[in-house]
Amino acid sequence: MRKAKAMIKANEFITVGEFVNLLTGLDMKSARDKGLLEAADELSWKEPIKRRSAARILHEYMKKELGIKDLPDISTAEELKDLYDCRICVNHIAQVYLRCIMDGVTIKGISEKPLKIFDGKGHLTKEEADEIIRRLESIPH
Amino acid sequence: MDRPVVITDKAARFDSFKNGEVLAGKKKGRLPAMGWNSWNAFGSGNTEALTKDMADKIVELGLDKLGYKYVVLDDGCYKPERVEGLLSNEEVKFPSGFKALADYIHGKGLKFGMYNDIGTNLCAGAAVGTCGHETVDAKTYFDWDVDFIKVDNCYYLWDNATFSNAENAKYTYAPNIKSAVVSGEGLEVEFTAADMELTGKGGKRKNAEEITGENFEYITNIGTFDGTGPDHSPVGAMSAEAVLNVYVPVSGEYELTVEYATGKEPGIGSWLQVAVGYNEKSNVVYDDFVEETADTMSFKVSQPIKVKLNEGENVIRLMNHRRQENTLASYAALHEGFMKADPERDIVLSICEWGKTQPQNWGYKVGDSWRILNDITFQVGSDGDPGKGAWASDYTTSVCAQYNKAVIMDEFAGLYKGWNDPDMLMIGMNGLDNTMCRTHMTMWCLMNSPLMLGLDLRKVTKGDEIYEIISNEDVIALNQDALGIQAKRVYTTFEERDCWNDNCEDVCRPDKCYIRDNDRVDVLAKPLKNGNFAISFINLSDTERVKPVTVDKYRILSYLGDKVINREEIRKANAVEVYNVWTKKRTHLRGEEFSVSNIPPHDNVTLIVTPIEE
Repeated sequence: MRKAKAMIKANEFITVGEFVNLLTGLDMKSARDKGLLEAADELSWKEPIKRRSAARILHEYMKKELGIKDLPDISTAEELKDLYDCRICVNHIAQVYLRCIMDGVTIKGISEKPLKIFDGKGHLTKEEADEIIRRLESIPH
Repeated sequence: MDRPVVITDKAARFDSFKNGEVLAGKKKGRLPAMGWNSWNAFGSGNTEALTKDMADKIVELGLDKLGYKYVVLDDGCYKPERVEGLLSNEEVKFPSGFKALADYIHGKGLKFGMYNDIGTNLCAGAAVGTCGHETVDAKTYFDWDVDFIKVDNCYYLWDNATFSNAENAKYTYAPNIKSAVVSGEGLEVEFTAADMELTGKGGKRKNAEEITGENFEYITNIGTFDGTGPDHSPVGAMSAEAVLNVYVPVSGEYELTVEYATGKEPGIGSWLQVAVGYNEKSNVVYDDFVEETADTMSFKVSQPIKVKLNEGENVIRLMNHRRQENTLASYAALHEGFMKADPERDIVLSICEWGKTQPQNWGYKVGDSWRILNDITFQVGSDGDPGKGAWASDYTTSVCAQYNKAVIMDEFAGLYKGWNDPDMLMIGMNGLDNTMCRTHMTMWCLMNSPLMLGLDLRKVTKGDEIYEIISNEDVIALNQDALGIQAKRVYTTFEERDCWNDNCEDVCRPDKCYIRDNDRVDVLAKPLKNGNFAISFINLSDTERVKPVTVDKYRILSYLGDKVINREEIRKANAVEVYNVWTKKRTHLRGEEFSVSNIPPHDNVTLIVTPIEE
């Protein structure tokens, strides 16, 4: 896996373009041509990447570039209370969550039990993105 | 655009939903659409080359002769933004453009379908939704010779749909309501929340004490509840209203003030509708935001709203039906675009708002079918991967979850209405065996659902098991029967259980009760144009049904009523010929009962019944 050379501070949010480059070593156009991105990614390449978009790009990269097969049963991911909030993200989120590449977020104080969500609308810091790449590299493929 | 349209046409109002009238120019009388859609097979990774391959295979397999004629591009085919205000093709995946692809597909004798959205963006993100571009987009689609369009609901501006601003709930729910005053002609009548009648479904009375420490009642959750998930029955009321029953001594103009508190969350909004009277005779006197309050429990009194009341009893309704009305208005704008572009031309409109706004109430006015739930699978395929479906699930992602809702929605469907759409077929995906696929096909055909194949047809060869399922002419004939009546569930073995009565909201009838426990056999009956009828025994359970399941013809006739053409002939016949649409066996039966035993798990026994004299 090629690594990007972009200079980003660890606590800053990482942009779509930076995340794509960090993950794939490719620029946006090349990644799009490989079918790793959606139209929306090109529109927002300078903006902080949302966690749901990161999950999708990661999942596409895992399937198409690393040849990692999908886990067939994603029902365990239903413990994420917002899993179905984004109907086209469900499988992407489930696959990276169940493989422990991206974690959920635990929210306390709303109900008796702590609530676990994916927080798809949240953003990723550079530090978190680095951790995701580290975990991805640890998956046998 | 910072607010939904002003509704000037009464035809687009909630109170007109039951009048059976469609929008001007909307053509009706179509049977359920049949074809292939790219989503379940390839997700947003579909390409021009794959689409051409699918069109070639439809013809090669002879599926076109069986009725599969629409080839539909789903999400992922456009450039990410408009080009000089127009839609255009994604050039890597669709290098020749859509007109050339339409020509190719039409050249095969097939029809061409595309996809868009009533929001600002498509679900996969491209900023090319029809919102605000309906007229120009409709012309573009006609220029491309598009015959069918599936229209989604992501990034919608006037509801809290997928990818929409969550605060859009402010448009679709009324504020919390504490009290109201009607005054004028020397009269002043105050209504506390307790004095108001709470009608419909979903509205709640709450006491403020736990939140504010003050002891008073207020009404909340006035709006249409969200039907995207499988939790609620689609039959009956889908929304709530707070109703003031007021007696006035003389006719005249009165003033209404409402004490309210606004919010921007599901259940508590900022948009209030006030109507006097019911149904098409009602008069909507207010339909707008009210001034925002500090929070959802800081109540204030509204500006006076003028209401004309007649001497005697009057009904004033505090409500918010904008979830349904806004969505209808958005689909209507696209329909009007098509009418402007060419009123003579025909295009199939497939409404895909996932059942969120209860389209079974209004979809017939503008569309040809309406999705009833969120997607049937989220594990869609890609080139080389068939994706995965499921037989049963807690959420919407299975054959049974979609069936369980659609099977009691028959009264919403019809040749001059449109069709309930429990989403595309999953036949050929991983996770479903051939028995499940056979029953999935049977269910969709009996329920007059659109039949959109969602598999990579290159994997299918004539005579293989998948081919035999999708090409069963007898089963397809049930779906495409010219009478156009969705099968009705006339019996379910769930009736044998003690909890049957607990499961029903109003009356316990197999055609109305929403049952999500799949450990059962259902019996569906479907009248046919030639006077025969079909009867299907469907075992949803994971275990064999050994005991006989029995239904007599009088029960069937009672439930189907005058929809059966040869009603008297069937009643009088002392025997019937039954033809099994899967085994192709014919049998003569004497007597008045139909009984089937030893039904394997997930299987079905589906028969066409012809009355005879012996």
